[in-house]
Amino acid sequence: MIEMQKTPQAVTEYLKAKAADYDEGLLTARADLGRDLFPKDVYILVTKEHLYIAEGVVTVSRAKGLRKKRVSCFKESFFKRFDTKDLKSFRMEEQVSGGMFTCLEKGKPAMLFNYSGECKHDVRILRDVLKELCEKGNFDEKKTKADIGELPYCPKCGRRYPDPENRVCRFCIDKKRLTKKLARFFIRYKGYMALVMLTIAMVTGIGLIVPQISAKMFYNDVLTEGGSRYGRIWYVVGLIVLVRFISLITDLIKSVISARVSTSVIYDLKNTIYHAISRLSLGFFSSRQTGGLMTQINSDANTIYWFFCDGFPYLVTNVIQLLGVMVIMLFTNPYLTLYTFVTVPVFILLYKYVYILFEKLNARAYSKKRSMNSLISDVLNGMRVVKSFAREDLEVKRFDERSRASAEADTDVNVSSGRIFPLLGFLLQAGSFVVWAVGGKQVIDRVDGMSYGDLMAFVAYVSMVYAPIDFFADVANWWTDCLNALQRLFEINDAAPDVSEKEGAVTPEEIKGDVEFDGVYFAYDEGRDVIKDVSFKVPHGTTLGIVGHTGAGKSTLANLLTRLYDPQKGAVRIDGYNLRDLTFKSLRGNIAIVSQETYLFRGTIMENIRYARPSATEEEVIAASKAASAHDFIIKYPDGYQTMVGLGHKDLSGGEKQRVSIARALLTNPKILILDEATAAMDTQTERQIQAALNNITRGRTTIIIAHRLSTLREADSLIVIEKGEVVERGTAEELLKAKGVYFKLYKLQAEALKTVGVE
Amino acid sequence: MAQSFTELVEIIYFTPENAEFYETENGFAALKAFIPPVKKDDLADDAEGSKEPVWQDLGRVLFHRAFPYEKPDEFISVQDEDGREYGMIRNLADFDGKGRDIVDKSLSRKYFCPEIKKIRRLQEQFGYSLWEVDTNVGPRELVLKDTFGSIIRVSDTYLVILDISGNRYVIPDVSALDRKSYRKIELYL
Repeated sequence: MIEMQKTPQAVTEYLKAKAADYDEGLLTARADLGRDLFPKDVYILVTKEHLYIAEGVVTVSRAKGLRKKRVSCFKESFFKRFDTKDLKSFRMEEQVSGGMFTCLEKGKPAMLFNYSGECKHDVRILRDVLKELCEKGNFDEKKTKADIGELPYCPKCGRRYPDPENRVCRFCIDKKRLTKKLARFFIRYKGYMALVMLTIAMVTGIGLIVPQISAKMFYNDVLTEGGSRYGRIWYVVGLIVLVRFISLITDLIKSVISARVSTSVIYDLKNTIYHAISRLSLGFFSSRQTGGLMTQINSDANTIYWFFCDGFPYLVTNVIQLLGVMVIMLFTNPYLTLYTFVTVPVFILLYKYVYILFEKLNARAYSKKRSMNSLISDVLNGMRVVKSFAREDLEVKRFDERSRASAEADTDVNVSSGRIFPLLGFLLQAGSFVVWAVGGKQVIDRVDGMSYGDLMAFVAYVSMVYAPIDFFADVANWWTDCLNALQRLFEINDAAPDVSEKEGAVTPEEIKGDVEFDGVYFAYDEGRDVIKDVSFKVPHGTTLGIVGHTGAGKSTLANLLTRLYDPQKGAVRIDGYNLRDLTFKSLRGNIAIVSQETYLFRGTIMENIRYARPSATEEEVIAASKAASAHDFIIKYPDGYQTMVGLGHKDLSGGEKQRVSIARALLTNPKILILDEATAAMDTQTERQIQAALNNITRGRTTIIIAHRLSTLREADSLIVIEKGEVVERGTAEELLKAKGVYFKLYKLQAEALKTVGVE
Repeated sequence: MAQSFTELVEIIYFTPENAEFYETENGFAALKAFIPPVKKDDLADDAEGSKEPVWQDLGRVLFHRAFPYEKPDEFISVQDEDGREYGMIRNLADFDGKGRDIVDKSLSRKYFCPEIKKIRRLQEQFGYSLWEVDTNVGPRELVLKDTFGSIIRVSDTYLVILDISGNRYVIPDVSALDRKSYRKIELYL
């Protein structure tokens, strides 16, 4: 029996008592919403003949006297037994939150149970098992087990992984591990880092000596009558200049080194991430907003960069400075040292409060700015629409409102910080006033031999204490930001692509181009199958046409064949090889696709056509363009094939772009060519031209043409009709017309459209 | 004079005159309606059959609000199980008694979302946030990805919160939360 989730002892016993055929059980599952939509424990038991549903609450208590022994208890609130033979058409009906699992019981709709988003995966598997069971009387246990896969729950805390692709539980994550990972990254620069540290330590150390000379020595030995160097002003001034000069040189060296390290660190970081991104499968991008992704990466990389190239050296400087100053102060005058820190506890308490306030103000300012920026980019991208509906005034007004809100929020931040931070600084330094008073008194009274020079040196040290304290109040938040950014970056870096090359994948010497779909199921979203049990074969060298409504799943078939996604069930094969067993290189080197969404990179037309095969000669490029009917329009441009296209350059029309991308696909000389509505944006005449040219080229190649304009498919050797993800008809155009099914209706509809304008 | 747009587009609006809601054996909403014969097939010839309305039993129907926040009781789409629209309820107030109860029951079930009454903990970490809340159906723990983006601000006070599994929670009036809870969520408003 397959247990999709661990069943507590009490539930097992309960089910055993209720279900006579428990021992013949096939599968148990758990859902989490009761019939009243309150959270409940819902257990589902599937046996050969029955489906049992039990709702209730499981409580776990610790048994008395026995250590660690837990006793579970199940309090039932609903129970029902269904005969499997009465049930059919199981459905996961999506509700606004969660879902409802229903079926037809003896032909009448019946509700089985409710579930929340967490259980979607389990319910989908349950649905598939039940469907198979009701249709065939049994189900494939091995396949189901593979389907269940690793459960998407954290073993430590039981919470669901935020991202099933990346099995890292955010709440059990180890900060140490993260830091270690980052350290490993920086270890490449250990030589440089050590140098930076050393110079920082030197600069700080020198800073610590300065008051000893400039205050203590100057007043006590030089300016005081009877001092050991009385009157030798030049000697001390020279010493001070010398020390400062050494400090300056070290500082210069530090700046040069850290400038060099920091740029290569950030370059390295961004490179690593970009590399990781391009390795990921398409699913990763469709589940995120791609536009925001790059911005996020850039800002995260910057956060880390600032911390390590700015924050980290600061941290070292401040730690050395604070410790050094405190040691010197304690040695000079422990009593006065105490006074220095009198106001620090109050400062830290106040700072925490102020920090929360500013976090809020900043967050508000940030969100207002974001809303203003999004409006700008929205309007600029949609300028055509704005102008064609004459809504400029409204947009100006909207911008004005948002811009004002943003300015106001910014003002709030600036006014508050202008008011609060000087006050806080004053409070922090209030300790130094006490030092002046108490220290002055000590000098007059000559307590412990305290001299004027000692006091001046001490005061100089006091002022060196406050900067580090100010810094430490902030560094914790800085560190958190850095860790957050780090986590996001490593998330991308560590995300396992769901389509990956298998170890030991093969590269066949030659691919003929036999394509086969065998019982393929696919869903972008758990539970919502887009492709259902699709099987077909395309012998090499022939042309298959795929017809169907918008959203029927045609393009998904193309995505599966190019392995942008892997099917959930079934297999896609080329020459008998499962796509999963082929290397990406051999797969994508032999398949070319021209899709509805054409994208031209910024560059010349030549570069765009040569994109897939940079080694192609000029003759080849021109031949490919001719075949794609692109040559004629390209040659008309003053710059010919070297016309710049893409963002900010010449704007090609939709049909022209499609022709360029067809040329690009042809140039790779693929064994399998997929045209996914590739000619949809062209007029019929151009389409005919391309088809005529393509006919020569597609001869001997496996070609799959996806179209809803039936005239596009005239040359296809065979056709399949897809509806709601299923193959509903197949055969040659002639056979399909005779069958008077969906294809016939489509054909009639399109023919009628011609009839109305008098063409037949 | 040109006809107004609403006259040109045919929309079936259900009223007590042309629609009668009833409940199936298992408590699902179902509909008998006086409408043109329903085509089960989009490709069927338009010329086939007459367009005269007749009373027909459509069986189980599903409801979907067009303006769930602004006008929850108006413009309710009535669909078959595959999401094909039969027509719309212009205003639920037109119906009374049993019919209205049946629609209301089905809607409240479909649109049910736990209401957050109290936020015990809200901790942001690594771009995700963990919420421990009390709702009208008991305590819950939710994880949000991109906290700011996962909150739909329907109005200044009405919030809808989407967790990573796609579950929804609502806060009907954020200003009515207790002070401690409010301060935790304030940052995201």
